[in-house]
Amino acid sequence: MKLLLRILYIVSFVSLRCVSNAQNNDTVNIEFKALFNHKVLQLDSTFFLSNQNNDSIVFTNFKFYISNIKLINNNRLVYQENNSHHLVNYKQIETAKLRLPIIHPIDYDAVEFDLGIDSLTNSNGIGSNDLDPLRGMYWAWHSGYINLKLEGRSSLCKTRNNAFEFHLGGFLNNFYSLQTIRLNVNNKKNIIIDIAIDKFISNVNLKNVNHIMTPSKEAVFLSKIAATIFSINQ
Amino acid sequence: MKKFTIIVLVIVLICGFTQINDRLFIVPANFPEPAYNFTNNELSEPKILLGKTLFYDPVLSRDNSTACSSCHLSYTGFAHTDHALSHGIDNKIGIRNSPALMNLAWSKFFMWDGAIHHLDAQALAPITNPLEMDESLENVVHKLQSSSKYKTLFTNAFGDSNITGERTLKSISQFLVTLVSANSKYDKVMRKEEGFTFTESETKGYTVFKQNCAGCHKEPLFTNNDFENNGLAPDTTLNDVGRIKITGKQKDNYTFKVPTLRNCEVTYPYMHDGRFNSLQMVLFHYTNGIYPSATLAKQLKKKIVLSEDEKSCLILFLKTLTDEDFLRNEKFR
Repeated sequence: MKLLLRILYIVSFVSLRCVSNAQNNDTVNIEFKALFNHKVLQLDSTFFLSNQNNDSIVFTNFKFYISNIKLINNNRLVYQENNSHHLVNYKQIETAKLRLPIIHPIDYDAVEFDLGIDSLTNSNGIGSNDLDPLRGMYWAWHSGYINLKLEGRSSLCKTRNNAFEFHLGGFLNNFYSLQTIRLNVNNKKNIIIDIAIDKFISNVNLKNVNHIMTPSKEAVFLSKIAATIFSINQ
Repeated sequence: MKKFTIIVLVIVLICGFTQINDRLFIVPANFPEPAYNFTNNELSEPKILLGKTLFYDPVLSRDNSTACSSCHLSYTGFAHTDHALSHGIDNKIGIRNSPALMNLAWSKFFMWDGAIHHLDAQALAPITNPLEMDESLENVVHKLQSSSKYKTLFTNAFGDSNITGERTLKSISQFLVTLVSANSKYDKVMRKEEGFTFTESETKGYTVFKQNCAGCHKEPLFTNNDFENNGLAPDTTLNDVGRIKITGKQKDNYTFKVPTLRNCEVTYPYMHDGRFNSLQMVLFHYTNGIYPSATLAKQLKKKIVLSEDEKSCLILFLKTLTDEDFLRNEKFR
């Protein structure tokens, strides 16, 4: 009996090591790089819009959920992360780097993910860790997760303190704002995804649209724009 | 094959029952299955105790002045009796009547406009509302983390002293789902318990109820868990349009959640803005005060005509929904 236990112990130890080695070898890293006019986004730094007046813009907060990460090869699903919910928060830059623990080596030519939290997860109520309402990504007075928050100030906004606030989300039928994004990749180990914030700002007409805080038609429209600013770093 | 079916059926039944901790939450014999998913928040005594402690603790508010129980009093079905609109932090007045809390495990939406879709997210709304507790969940958790009392309560509930937003909110849900009211005279009559029958007037009132009220106030929960426009003239000092603010759909203009009528004897004043102080006034509204509008509930389009005798009998029936065991339950305090 004792011998059997010892063998079991050795076998499990060896196999565990194999697994962890494989994990180290085959980890896929995904990095989300927020950019403004091709420059790395720094919160609380001043950038300039490429418009007539050269308006200034400062971002004070940028965070969003990435969920349901999948790797795809020839249009076939080859990897799907379990419990895949990540809050990327540029106040904690380390959250912009995700690591997928892939056990067996796989080939893939595309990555797919959701920008936001799907309706099933929303329907189940509140979650833990990155999904804890503590993270400031949950609507208190109109329950549901906020998919994306972008806040700042710009001389373009004739608002109090020139502030703009975009809180995009909504999971119920007509206001469903989740976006699924698929990008073709060639680098197998490190996927670097650029986020062109300048493109979002120029497409939303910031002068007139600067406060979206509720699940609404506008939030759905802006979420669609947000989905277009993700691209693979070339 | 028959044997196999029986085995499967037994397994399904067992699984169905073990989802809910039988000792801590009993589905009353005359009730449907609850809507709350207990598998995501399994009940335990220490978690319920933690939730109850939080419910009664003003630590949830910005200046430690206001607790959930400030506007939800156990003696009156967890409503704020005598307050049309409740007062929160700094004596600020809210915009709606504080609802009674009971049988929440059977509710799919919370708040008068159904703004909250899940019980576990509900407490966030009053905690963060600037007119109610004006606090952030982050700061609540911070305050709890520095309390040795809560370290012990969380450890007893979860096995470690890690205090998170999720655990805080789900514990409050644990207490809330235990607030089951199902032991009124009505329930005992329906369950054919020995020695309980309706009087002649109550029987008559029950008939009137079934003919005129049950369309929305569906038995046994006395709500259809839906949203209706019950013909209240809009109050121009509040301009509350109800559920349309949440859904953006025109059909929801001036609709509000159909409240349960259980314990309505003690949960006055009535309606989303607490405009009626007595059941008599409520009945007068339904017979004589319907304000016509595009979204008026279909059940109210035809005028309700009740004699004075029918009205008194109806009120006597509504009083059979008073559940003294619930209102005086020591476990809820």
